[in-house]
Amino acid sequence: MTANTGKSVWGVWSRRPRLALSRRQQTIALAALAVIAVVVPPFLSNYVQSILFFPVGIYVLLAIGLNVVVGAAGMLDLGYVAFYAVGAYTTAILTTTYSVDAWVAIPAAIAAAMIAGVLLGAPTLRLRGDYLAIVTLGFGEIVRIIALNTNALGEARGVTGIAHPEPLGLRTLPYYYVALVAIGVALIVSIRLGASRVGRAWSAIREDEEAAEVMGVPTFKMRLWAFTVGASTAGLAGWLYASKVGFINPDNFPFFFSVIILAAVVLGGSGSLPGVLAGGFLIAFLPEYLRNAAAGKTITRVANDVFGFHASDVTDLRVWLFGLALVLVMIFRPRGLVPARLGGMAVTDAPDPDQVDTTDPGLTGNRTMQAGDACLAVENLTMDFGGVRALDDVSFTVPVGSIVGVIGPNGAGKTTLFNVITGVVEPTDGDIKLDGNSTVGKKPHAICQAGIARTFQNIRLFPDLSARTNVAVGLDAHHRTSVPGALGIGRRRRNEERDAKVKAEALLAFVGLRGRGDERAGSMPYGDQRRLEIARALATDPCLLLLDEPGAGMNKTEKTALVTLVRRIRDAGITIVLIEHDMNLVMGLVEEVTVLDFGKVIARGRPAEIQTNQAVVEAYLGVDDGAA
Amino acid sequence: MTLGAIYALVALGYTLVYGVLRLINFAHSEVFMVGAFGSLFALHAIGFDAAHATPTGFALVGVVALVVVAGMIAAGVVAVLLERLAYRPLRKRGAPRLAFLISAIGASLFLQESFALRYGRDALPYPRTVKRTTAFTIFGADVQVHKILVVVSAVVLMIALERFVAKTKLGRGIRATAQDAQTAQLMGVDINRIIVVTFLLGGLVAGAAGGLYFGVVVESVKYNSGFIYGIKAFTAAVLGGIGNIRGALLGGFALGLLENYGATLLGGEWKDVFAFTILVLVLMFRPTGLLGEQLGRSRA
Amino acid sequence: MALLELREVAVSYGPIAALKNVTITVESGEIVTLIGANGAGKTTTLKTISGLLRPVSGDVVFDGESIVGVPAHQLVKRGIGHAPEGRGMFPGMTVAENLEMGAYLRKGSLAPEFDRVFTLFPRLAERRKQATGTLSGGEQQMVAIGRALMSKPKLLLLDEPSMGLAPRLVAQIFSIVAEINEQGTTILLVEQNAAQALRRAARAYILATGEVVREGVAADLAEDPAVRAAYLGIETER
Repeated sequence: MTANTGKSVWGVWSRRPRLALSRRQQTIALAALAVIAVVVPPFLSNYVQSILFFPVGIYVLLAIGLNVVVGAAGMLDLGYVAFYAVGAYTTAILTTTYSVDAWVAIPAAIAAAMIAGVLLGAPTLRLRGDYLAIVTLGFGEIVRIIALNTNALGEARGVTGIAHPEPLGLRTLPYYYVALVAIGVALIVSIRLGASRVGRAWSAIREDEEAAEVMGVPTFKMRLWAFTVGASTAGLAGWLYASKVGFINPDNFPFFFSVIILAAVVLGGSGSLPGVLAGGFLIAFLPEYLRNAAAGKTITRVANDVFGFHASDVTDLRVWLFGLALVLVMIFRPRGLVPARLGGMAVTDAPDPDQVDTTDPGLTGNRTMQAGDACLAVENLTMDFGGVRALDDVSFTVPVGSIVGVIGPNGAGKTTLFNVITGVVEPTDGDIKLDGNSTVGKKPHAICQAGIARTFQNIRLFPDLSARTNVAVGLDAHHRTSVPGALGIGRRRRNEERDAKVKAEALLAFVGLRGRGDERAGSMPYGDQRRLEIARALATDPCLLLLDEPGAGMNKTEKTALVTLVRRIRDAGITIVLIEHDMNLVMGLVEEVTVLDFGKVIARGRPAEIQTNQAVVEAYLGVDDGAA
Repeated sequence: MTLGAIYALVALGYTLVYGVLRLINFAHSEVFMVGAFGSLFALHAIGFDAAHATPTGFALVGVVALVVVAGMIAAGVVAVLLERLAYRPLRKRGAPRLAFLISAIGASLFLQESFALRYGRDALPYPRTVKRTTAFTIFGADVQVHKILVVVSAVVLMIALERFVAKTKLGRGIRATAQDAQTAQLMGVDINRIIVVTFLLGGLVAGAAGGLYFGVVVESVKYNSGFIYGIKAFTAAVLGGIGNIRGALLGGFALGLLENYGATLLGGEWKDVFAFTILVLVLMFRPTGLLGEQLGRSRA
Repeated sequence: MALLELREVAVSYGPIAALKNVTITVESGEIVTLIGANGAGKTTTLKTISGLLRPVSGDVVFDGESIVGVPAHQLVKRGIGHAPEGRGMFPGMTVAENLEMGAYLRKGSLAPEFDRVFTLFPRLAERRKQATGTLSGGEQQMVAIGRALMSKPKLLLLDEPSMGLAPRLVAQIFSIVAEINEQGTTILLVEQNAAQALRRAARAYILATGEVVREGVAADLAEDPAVRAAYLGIETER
């Protein structure tokens, strides 16, 4: 009985009201920024222009790329600089050793970085968050050490004479504009991916990976995409840097470079594009600006006097200050300076009211099954955990269109049963058939797509996403848009987005949450969260719905509404299995009860029979055998 | 062997903190580095410098003891401050794991740069504390006195720490907290105090390792000396089974030997790549390490 | 004066109210049992008493003093022993070490307490050097109870000592619980096994969805249809 207080990776733990921009405000701000960024630089000094290219332009570009990995998908990457290095070295070697034109090197640099992303990602992405961070750090170092020790890469000398893309030549300003275009492209990619099935999948993974997988999100594939998309941006940045500067060596790619970019993302507001832009800009520009400003001189003098440092100007203090800033941000403003809007990048807007009707939740229910068929057949299911047998030779069938209850004392194996059916754990022995087809050995997201949906005993919504986005993640179980589709102009993305909007609205209405789509899921009242979880499960268009203690923590009124809702779901043609402790609720709702005790089925039958069954009474009330 | 012993000592800090808090104390490598600086300053403070003759007899024992103790004190203090300032505020709020990691990375950079800005980015030399004499030759390899000294001191510390955790009341508190923090509270264990003690213990051994390794073996230290050893020691901890004290020891020595072997095979410059590859392989195929994850389980 | 009093205690986990207005009294020397179905709030009640959870409202008075806000580790010293749900073994420690953990805050010789526990549970004396992770469920339960006794508590909180045990073992554990009480320790017993619990206890409270729905003399409640209703949901008149 633990509450869903929100275990989002990036933290709903800060409950302070925050500065968040509406989409309209964002658009206006971005447009204004774009105009300034295009018009102003030619009037600035050469020195400022060069700063605007590096570090500012490069940092901002890298921050946008890293934000896809860290902010959107919630994976901490401490070796991001490695992909930047791969892009830079690819450019260097192609334009020198192979005399390839600098422009032609762009796709090669991006492709090489993406390949590096897959090479690192495929074997390691299953690792737990903090282990993944350490492994990425190791990867970053490996890339640097390889560059340092490989003759063809120039070892410590690096590579010189990298071709400039013509006609850009040696001046800074043209490169600045190329950087600006690259930033624009990266932003568009981020925004388009964010508002698609891909972005929603990333957000879902970040919020609760297991729940995402069970709701039909192919988590591994989506995480790999996040890694690869992030890497591609770094590859482009690497090209830009190498082709402008003309020479690179391993010292350009130290570990703390990864951390600086991470600091930009976290400081600005992980998952928030305006925040990341601001973070990248500040972290790059501020030290350079302060270097000559009076304030910077004061900071330097104070630090030197107080701590006995020997800093010659503020830029020497840069990393020191960033380190401090990371700690302080985590403690005092964990969501960054410009925090992400609800759900970060993944936002699903409300549909226009005059757009098609929202009364059809699109449930297909039984599909081709006939009344009387076994929707679910559990055959001799056994599940061992270490030495403990959680399920022992469990068999039962669930007829199409029925509501079946599973009851039993604490630890009887009920939730384990659900976990096995949904593929979260693989059974030790036995078989599970959905409409006659075995599901054993399939991934949870595949089982979900086959038609089994569930809710969780301890609500596992994606707490930091809106109610609508939660439902849309479920709907995506039957959508197909992947990264190329989300970036392309094809119709699929548009159709699927429209479908998601309309059906999400209809499903919210179906469970009694009409018009509540914009609320933050984790902040809704408890009973509403339970209903939202049911809506999300229904969104996957299941033929079988597993409800794990849907009535827990509800008051009498809410329970009455729940009973009505469950009946309506059944009437829509969906078969239901229900774990519940509240016997009044079970007895009033179900046609048949299966009783588990010590992992075994000890009784099956109609509710009235079960209430008087001696074995059941003993399992619940105990035996008074009179022993002294 | 020397390096293995050092890895093992530093790995103990990762393992203790992980065992109790289930967190990777990323800044532990800097605790190690601070220990080394602590030793150096202590030598400076007693006026022991390069002009000094290399000590013998009691003076030698005294100087080595100073190196170890000063390293322990400096590192212990930093480790406890780290817990108080960078971790405890997050813990109180129940922040997610990655927040701890980011905070730790920040603290780590902050410490590194503090030393770089104050003492420069070049390596600072130590005066020679132990003569480079060969004690004996085994399989054609010279075994030098100072290395024996380091390994023996390290082993003594490991045994002391292991005994402390296994036998004392506080040690039992640490193990109980690691195994079931809530029940430990019901037994009267003050979890916050145990966490401080855990950081302190990890800091003490890492500090001793810092003094011994940089002071006696390498004879120089700089601001980022801890980083790469920290990662290696973490690898050692994972290799042995993070959270498990004996695992850290085994992992440390195993990594030292493997690395040595790898360096002979591939060339010294690939040593670090080799270590990282081991880390990735272990995490992929046996994430609980050689001896499993739990603190105190090795006794079962 | 009552040894323990819960006065209108409410506890919640985030948005979920787990206990509402729970008032419970335990007199010195009694066995009081708290029964009810899964999720009724029994474990929450015990955790609130032992300081692991903090009530939203209401007061918990132990031995004449309010203990709301006192951290769990300090309540042990005041005389509350808690054998938690699921037994709370330190699996890597031996039986003897687990028992020593029970006396964590005590100084001086533990020999009399060890004697007492080993007399109550001779089986544990045989296994004192064995890691508790390798014991059977019944033996682990004995360690859990014995460990809570090592602090010489005035009040012993037992959370479902019968969970996961075979009926014969359940009877044995309960008779030892009665023996501990006869030796002078007050006991608050949380149980799902209502039949056994009601037989051993003097008084009982029935919890349902976070509220006390019945209270009274245990022997009377044993005959009360409300008990069965709390578990199996047969509607009864109030």
